Amino acid sequence: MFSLNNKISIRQMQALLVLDIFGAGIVMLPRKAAKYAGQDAWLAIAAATAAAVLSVYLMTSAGRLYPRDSFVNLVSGLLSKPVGKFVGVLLSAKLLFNCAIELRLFGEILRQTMLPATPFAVVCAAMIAISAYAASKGYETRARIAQILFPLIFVPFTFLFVLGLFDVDLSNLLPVFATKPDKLLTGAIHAGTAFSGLELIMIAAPFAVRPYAVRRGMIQAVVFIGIFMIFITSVTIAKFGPGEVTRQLWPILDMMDLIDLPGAFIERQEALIMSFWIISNFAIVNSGLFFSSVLLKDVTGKGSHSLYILMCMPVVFAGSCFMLDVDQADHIIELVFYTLGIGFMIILPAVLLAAAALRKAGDARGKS
Amino acid sequence: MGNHRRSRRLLPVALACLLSTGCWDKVEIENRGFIISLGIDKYDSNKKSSRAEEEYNRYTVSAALPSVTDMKESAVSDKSKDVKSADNSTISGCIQLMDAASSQKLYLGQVKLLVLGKGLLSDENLFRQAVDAMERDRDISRKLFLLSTKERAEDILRLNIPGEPMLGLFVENYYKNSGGAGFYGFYKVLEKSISDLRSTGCTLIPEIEAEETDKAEGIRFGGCAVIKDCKLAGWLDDPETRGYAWVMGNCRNSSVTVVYNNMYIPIKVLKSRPRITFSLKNGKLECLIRVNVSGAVKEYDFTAAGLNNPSNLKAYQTAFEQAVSKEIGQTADRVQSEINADIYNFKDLLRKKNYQLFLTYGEDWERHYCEMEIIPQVKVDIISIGTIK
Repeated sequence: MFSLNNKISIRQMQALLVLDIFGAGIVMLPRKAAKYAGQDAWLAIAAATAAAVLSVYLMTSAGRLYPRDSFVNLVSGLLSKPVGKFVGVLLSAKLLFNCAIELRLFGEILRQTMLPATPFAVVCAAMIAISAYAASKGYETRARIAQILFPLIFVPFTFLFVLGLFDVDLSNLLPVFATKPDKLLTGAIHAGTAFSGLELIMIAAPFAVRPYAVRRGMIQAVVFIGIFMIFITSVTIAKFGPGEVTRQLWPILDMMDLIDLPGAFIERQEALIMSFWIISNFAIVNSGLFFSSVLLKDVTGKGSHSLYILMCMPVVFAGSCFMLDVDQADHIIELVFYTLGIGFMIILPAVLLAAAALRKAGDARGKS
Repeated sequence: MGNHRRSRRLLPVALACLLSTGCWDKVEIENRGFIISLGIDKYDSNKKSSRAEEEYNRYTVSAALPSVTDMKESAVSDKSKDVKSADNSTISGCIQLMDAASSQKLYLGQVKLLVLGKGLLSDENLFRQAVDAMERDRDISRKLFLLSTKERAEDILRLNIPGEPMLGLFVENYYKNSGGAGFYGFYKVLEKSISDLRSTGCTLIPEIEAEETDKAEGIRFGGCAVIKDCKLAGWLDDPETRGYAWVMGNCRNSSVTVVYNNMYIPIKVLKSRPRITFSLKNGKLECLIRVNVSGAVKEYDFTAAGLNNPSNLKAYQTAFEQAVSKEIGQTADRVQSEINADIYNFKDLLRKKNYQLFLTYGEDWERHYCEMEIIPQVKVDIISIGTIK
């Protein structure tokens, strides 16, 4: 019944990508976008989505050059082996760092909202253990988990926000297009951090059963995420107003608190949004551990990826134990995004495409 | 070999279950003290206290909890509550003292109602810190109802209303049934009040007062406290509160009584939709408030003959229009000239509806608001006079 050839369908890849991106970034997204773009935050997110689509196009075009080769082999083939290994190690380090910081953020929020007395190490270790176990089972297992988790997260989430629509003041989205273009651009740049994780496309592309369909599938996924982000940001701003959204650390969490569920059988809905966050954090840590181990395996060319997962686990755990508050962790995530993130999402694919053009390299079909 | 593999697979599952039991944060439900209502007052310095820290006391916080020991007969019994109170220099200090005096772990996650006493409302610093404390505590829901009182909040919490549940539950049910219905159904949740205070520094907090008769205690809703720059600036009575509610579109199911031809005719509001526009007239800012009201006549003089006459019906409609206009106008006049508070948040509305005017007048808004001419324009449509129209 299951092929166990480590290949996944485009649908599964889309579900994985959406889960990887839908994390801590989305909870703070309305605040970041509204801080600069005000009530036009939805426009800033639309601009960020367009930039993300362009980035996906670049990455998948680079991936099409040698669609069956792994990421490290692709870079090595075009730019030389030492560069390929260096980029592989750097990306692996970046993913592990992201994992650690996301875990830190997750642990902090969990401590403040639900489990104040539970040691952070317990929360962190439990999440790493379960994510590592899932990652050790291979990409197909991850894909099937994503197919199960996707409706579990998005259907109730969407339902809650549609309910929230009945008690919002849509005039809070006025006046439209009144924000200055420079502030819109700044808002778009800050909103772009919500798309952190897109660089995984380059590593994941060789796992697709139809590698030449990856571009279309990933663009669809990014557009879906963008529309979803615009929807929840608009509802949140309509509820609180742009000024109040800017003041809240986690506007989405506060939004959930104010929604009245029909039947009123659940008094506090924060537990629901936290369950979404737990699942999406699992997806992020799981993908970080999996892809880091795959990259390290490709760099060294030895051993199985499970061995490298075992090596990465204490690194992520140690990184997450650094004492950072939510604000500091958020700043570090942004810093890493604006440097390494953009480097891997835009600059590296552009360099690979340029190198391929200069050397007239690449798979013949990839050039079509 | 198979058993060994199976136990290896089960080990992570078992570990995950073990670690997810919430060992550190579990609280048995009977050990939780669910606070339903909170009351905050300014500390009464005339109170005698045995504590050495008395001179530093600034707040009295009261909390009403369901009494587990008394709840034998019914959960809705008015006797099934305990009211605890504590004095301290801070809100969190008061809550800690109450916690220390209780065998249960007090939990603020189910608070439905917050009552603020007049003394607290009149003190800007105390009020600011109280609002901040409520906002910062993530346990406290932002959709709890906010009420003000001219007396002490603690006294309101201690009221026993015969046949009704404890006050927080009573208020929650009351507003769910009658919320938005004019002056008595006008309600404010914590989130909205905080948002208003940050936006214009002004908000209204509905009023609750004790009403004692020979037979029993009771409560009365109506009127509201006007807060300006985080300090009590005045009180609005029932008609003035409804004058505000007309502008906010919160008068559905309200009942307006008009005297016409020596008859008292109540009309039940079925729909009330305001439309507010801003414009410049002779260099002066003008705010036009158009309110379209649809209503049904609830009582007449048992003949209905007058109501079948179109010209009479038109006259009644005109009388209602004048009554509603008068309420809106009187409230606007009072808050502009006497209290000087933008309770309607017209500043934000101007920004949304006419951004160009906002750029000109938004800067020195307090002055422009007081000089702005507010013109109510009401249209009443009586769509039902009884069984047949």
